[in-house]
Amino acid sequence: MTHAVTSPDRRPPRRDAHALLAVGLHKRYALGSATVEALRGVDLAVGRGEFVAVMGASGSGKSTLLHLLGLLETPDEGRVEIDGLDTSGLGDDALTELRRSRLGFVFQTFELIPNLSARENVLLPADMSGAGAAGRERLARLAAVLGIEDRLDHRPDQLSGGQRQRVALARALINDPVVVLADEPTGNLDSRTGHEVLRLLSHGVRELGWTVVMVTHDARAAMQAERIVFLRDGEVAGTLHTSDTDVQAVFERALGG
Amino acid sequence: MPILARLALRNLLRHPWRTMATVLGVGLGVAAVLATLSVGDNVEANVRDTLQAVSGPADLIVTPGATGRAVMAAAELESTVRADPAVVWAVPVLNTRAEPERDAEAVPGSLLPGIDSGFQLGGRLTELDTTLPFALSEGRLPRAGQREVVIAEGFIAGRGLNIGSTVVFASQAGPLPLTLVGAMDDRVALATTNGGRVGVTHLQDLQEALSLVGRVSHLELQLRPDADVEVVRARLQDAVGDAFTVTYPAGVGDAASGIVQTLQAGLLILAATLMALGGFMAYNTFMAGVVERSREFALLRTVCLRRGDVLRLALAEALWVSLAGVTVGVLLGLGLSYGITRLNAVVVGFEFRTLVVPAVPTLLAAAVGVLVALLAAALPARAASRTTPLSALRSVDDRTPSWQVALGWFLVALGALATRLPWSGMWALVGTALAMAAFFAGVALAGASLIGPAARLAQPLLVRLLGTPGRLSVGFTVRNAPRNGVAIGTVIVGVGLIIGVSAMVTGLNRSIAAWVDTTVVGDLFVTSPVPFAADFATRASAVDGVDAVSGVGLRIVRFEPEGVPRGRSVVLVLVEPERFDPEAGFGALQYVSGQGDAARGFEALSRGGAVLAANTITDRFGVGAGDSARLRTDEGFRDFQIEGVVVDFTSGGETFIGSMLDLERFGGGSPDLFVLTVQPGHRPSEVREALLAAFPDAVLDITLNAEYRAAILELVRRTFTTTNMLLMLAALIAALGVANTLGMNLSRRAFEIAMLRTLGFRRRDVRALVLAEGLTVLSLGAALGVAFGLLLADVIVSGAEALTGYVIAPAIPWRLLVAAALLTPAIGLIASLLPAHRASRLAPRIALGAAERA
Ligand SMILES: Nc1ncnc2c1ncn2[C@@H]1O[C@H](COP(=O)(O)OP(=O)(O)OP(=O)(O)O)[C@@H](O)[C@H]1O
Ligand SMILES: [Mg+2]
Repeated sequence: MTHAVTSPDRRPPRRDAHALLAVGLHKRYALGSATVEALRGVDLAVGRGEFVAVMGASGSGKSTLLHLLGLLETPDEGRVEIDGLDTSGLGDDALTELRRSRLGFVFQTFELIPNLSARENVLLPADMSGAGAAGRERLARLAAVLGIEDRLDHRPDQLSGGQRQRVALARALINDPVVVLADEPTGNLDSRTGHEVLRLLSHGVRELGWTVVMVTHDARAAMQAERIVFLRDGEVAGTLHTSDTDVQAVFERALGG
Repeated sequence: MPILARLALRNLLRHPWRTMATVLGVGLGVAAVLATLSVGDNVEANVRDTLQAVSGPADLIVTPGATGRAVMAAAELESTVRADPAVVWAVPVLNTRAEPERDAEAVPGSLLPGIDSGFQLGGRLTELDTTLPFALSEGRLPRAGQREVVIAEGFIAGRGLNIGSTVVFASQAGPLPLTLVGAMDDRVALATTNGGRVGVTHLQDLQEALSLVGRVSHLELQLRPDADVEVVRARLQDAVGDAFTVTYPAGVGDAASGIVQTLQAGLLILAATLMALGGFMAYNTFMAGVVERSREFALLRTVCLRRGDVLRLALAEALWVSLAGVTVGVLLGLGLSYGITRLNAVVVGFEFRTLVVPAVPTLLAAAVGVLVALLAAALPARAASRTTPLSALRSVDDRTPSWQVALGWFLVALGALATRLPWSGMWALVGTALAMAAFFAGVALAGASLIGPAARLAQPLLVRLLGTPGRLSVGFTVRNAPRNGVAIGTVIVGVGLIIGVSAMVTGLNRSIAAWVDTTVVGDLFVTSPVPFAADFATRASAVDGVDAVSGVGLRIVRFEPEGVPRGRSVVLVLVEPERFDPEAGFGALQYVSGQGDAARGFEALSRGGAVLAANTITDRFGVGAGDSARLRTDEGFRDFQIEGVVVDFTSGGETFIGSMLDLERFGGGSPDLFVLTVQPGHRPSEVREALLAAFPDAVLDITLNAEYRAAILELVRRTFTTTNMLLMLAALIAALGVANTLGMNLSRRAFEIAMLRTLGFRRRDVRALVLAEGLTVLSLGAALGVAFGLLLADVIVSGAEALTGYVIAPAIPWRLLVAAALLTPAIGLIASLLPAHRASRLAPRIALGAAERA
């Protein structure tokens, strides 16, 4: 199962490579007798310290793309490189180890483990990759940045939505990942709390060197990114740099394509 | 604690009730196994303790060669023994049965002959007070030549006796008046034995009174502290020769072993099945946990866990459960063992003294518990580790693949077939296990395909009873089919087991009843705590209304079957041949076909030197008509020709029937029991009165035939109390399994239920919905379980026959059958009350939120 690259956990990051590189991604799903082509040849390069938003109509393939980038599914064609490492053909264990050491995930529905405290939730990936001590140090700093220091000993059901998402964000970042992948992280939050989370993300990208790929339906959320990639029918329909545009334009682009 | 272990523990604590149910399921199984395995040790320990107490400070005892009943000349033996340098003292003891005077009504004695010895009067050299196995709580020791006695204090109080007064004992030599001079402390040694019915007088006085001067029952020896007891024992045995036995105080007799073995063997089947049921239950719960947390597993897979980590996480939960289960089980098992031992104490007639915790059975039961829990967790754990990261994000309805359904039906057919095969001997156990395993697995897999039709069949009734919730429940039940299949499997195995075992028990009861009917012939049964006078039979025949009088001798003798090194103690029933004369006798025996008949048996008994064997002896030791049995007589081991095999349930079935002509070979003395018939026209109860009047000095216990039968059957019933207790545990585990399944169906459907609540379902509608599901599942399970139980009965009976050696004709327990068919759904309903209540309490909003997060 495991390939030549047996312990991606311990490889030093390569400074010269893209944080994330997707080349010619194709993904098809069999739906009964029909085949749905969710992605048809998507290329995407994300540099270190970049904040990229992905937008597109419902069913355009945003989540599918994120799953492929997150090594949760394998592409039918094309390849995904993380930190310069080609992930094609890696076995399940190797993929898992890559996910927990190089990637962070944030979901629309938070997905915290209900019977672990916030602290334990955050530390879980660190503990599992044997980096518990380093994790605890990072947790102190992350908690300060994310403003959840006094919430660490609460269980998820004792936290508000915004707090939960911030805990989830801390969990995504605990192993110092190369990229954080977020699928509509603000979708379940009211606009103020959502904005708060987004502010934290862009602050992290600017000040702390995080790299984020975020799927969103919200044009204002997308404006926090540096670059917006539009998908349509499984293809990249264009890219906008937020410095060159405004919310209204993004909104229209996302709607009409 | 490692993070995975901690996570596992948290997961378990999240559902405390469910976890407790699982722990209890595993625990009950462990308990049943432990109790069954340790009963033997406990009975043995108690019997040994009792025997130890009787002889107090003695290290060794010397008894007459063949039986413990005969007396022996002491003088020469004493000097031989004393000559050994390791012997510090050797004291002679004479024991006799002598009944202190009592009021007219008989004292109910134990029914098992040869074990209850009535009041035990011992003659000892009381001036050697360091050799005495008792302590005084009041008064002083009896002196030689004064005809004095000390009695256990409890007995003194019970009979209202006073120190200083005279107690008249009925003895084999007539009334024996003794002055009560002291009370024995009830808490120590001798006074704790024989139910406190013990007294001690001076040896010489007793010898004189019984005309047994110079004769004793046994010698008690104390050795020097530095002596190697076994070496001395062997040396002494050589010195005294074959006519005597030098043995440890606790080594006398193991009369109880046969009965215990029978009981233990019967329980073992049950215990194994309970363990299996506990395992199914654990499987059920673990699977529930996996299904319920599939989203969580998917997340963990996404964020940090490899497949192997998930597998280990799931197994860690099983490990926690098994640890808790084993702890609970060991405690429960010891309690159960205590109960069963106590019960045996009553049935067999020994005193309950200690509870031993045997190491090997405890470890074995614990290991079985852990193994079963881990096995039960294996499949669910694998399922959990196969969760893909993305499965969380798509809701996939669980559907059983058609190959699994096919495999399920194949297994069901295999299980049914397994019950039909002619398993014999110990293989029947394998057959039982196989049939049950195949049936359960089959139903768990194929049950899903049964549920659809069954639910639709039930629909009209449910709609009628419950309205819309009834209709909706059909869909619910069908969609939860895979889990409901497991629940149905649990119910089937539970109900099937109960029916199967009951068929065995009912069959055994019938067989015993039939044996009692054929064998317990005669109108009056006369026993006495005091040996009968030599002319009892002649004098009794003269009593008005008495027709025939036939004596019965009961002896516990050593039987040495081939391949059993130390041999076993068996019961030898010595009968007067005339009673079994096919022409003129009133007695009858139930011959096993092809193994002798009444004519040959009568001929053998009239000739002497031959025996009839109980069928259990044949089954356990492989000897039958035409073989010979080595029995220990006063002159050492001797071969007795076996002339027939008869059904006999006495003493766990390890019984021989011999001729009274051989009485002298087995210690001599008088018969222990007389069977009397009454002349036509006389009422047995009147004849009883006449007999009591005719023997004013003898202490007679006279039982009417009906009373005797009732007492035997009562004894059987009591013996099966344990079985019934275990069966109830089985029912309990099955009910827990059902509640568990419904609970887990519920958490899967929390979202839908919340929707229904939002759409206008009242609380009681939700309750009805869940109850309807439980009812459908349980009724289906009960129906199939009854069918399975009937199939299973035959295998269980063959298994029980193989284990117990009894020959049993299975009988259908009709009443239980109907009860099971009706009660199971009722129990299921009760079991589903909690989940139903919980469902109805779900507030719409909370449930929606839960479904989102779950
Ligand atoms: N497992 C699957 N099986 C079949 N079809 C799928 C599967 N996953 C996605 N699809 C299809 O692929 C296409 C892209 O789906 P995807 O979930 O990526 O869209 P999306 O852009 O995230 O939409 P939304 O904004 O609604 O979340 C859709 O047509 C969807 O139906
Ligand atoms: Mg999506």
